[in-house]
Amino acid sequence: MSAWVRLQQVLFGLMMIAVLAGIVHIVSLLVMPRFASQDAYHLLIAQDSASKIRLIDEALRSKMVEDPAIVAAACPYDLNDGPLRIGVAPLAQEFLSISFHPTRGPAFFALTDRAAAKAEIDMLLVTQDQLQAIEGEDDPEEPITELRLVAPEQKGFVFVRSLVRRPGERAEAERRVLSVGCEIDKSEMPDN
Amino acid sequence: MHRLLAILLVMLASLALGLGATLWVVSSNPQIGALRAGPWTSDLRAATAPDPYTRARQARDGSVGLVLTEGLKAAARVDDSGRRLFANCTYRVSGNVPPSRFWTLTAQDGNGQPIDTALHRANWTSSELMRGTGGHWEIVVSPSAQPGNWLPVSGNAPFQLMLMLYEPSILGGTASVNREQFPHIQRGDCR
Repeated sequence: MSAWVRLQQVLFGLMMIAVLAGIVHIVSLLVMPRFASQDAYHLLIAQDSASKIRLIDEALRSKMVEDPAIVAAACPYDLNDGPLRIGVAPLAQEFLSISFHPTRGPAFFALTDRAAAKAEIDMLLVTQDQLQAIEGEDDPEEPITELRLVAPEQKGFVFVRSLVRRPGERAEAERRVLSVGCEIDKSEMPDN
Repeated sequence: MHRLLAILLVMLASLALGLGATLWVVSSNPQIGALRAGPWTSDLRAATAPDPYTRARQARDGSVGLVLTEGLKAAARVDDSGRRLFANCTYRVSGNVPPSRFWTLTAQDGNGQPIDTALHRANWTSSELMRGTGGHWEIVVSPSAQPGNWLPVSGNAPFQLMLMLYEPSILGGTASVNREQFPHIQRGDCR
């Protein structure tokens, strides 16, 4: 075998490695989130899967919250149990953000206290089916006061953040994030 | 036989290289496609439309990303001259911050955790800063005590500064920022 043919073979091998490695890289990157058990949702429900608001403790803080000035709370949900009502009233004049996350991937909705038109936030997180059922029961004479949001999937979590402006105001910020109501509300659903 | 061995070698090398690249990219966060302003970089895409790299990283580290309406993170690993930040040096951070409702500056170690010193202060917030005339401010990042807004660091390892903007208003749909919208980081003495 001539040296030239040998070189061609080696070059072809290297090219194949580059192409295949690229494919492996892209596929593994896209597939990885599907098999993750260390993502935020799974870490939260490993602690407590109930649909209620709870403070992000020290154990989860180092992963979920980068900024020491942020106090956070989370509320995992499962809409199979019914629609989720999220409410804050009255709003303090302090930063408060509420974001809605599916089990994996980026948030599908977020709002801050300033985005609320009134002095309160009243939201209902529903599935498409629940929305249709609720709209069927709506009284056409009565204005709808709540913001209805359709979730992309049944499960996920709500994440609430507020700021500690000065070192002594941590407890106040914790009370603020925990004051966000987050619970399954079956009263909206028509009787089956 | 010879050929089979070659094919096997190619397959193994591709697998190792491909998976290695994935592991590296999700664990070291090399800031692909980030916005740059002087020493500051900001992963704007992570806040607007997370790419597969960000998604994979979040699936692995359990972090909860900020949506752009909530806030934007910028980080600096170097000073104005491009030199790596070290905890045994003194840095003066001053200048402008993009318009936002509130901002914080935090010193972080190599793992992205706040640097904990005996003083238990790893950050300054825009509300508590002591300011001069015209709202001018300066934060001094240093291992030794400083008058004014002192952000203590310790050790002599590399560190990074994280600037968090809450409810930023600069980004009205455009992703262009200029250097002067972000603070300067000037190095002073080193121990």
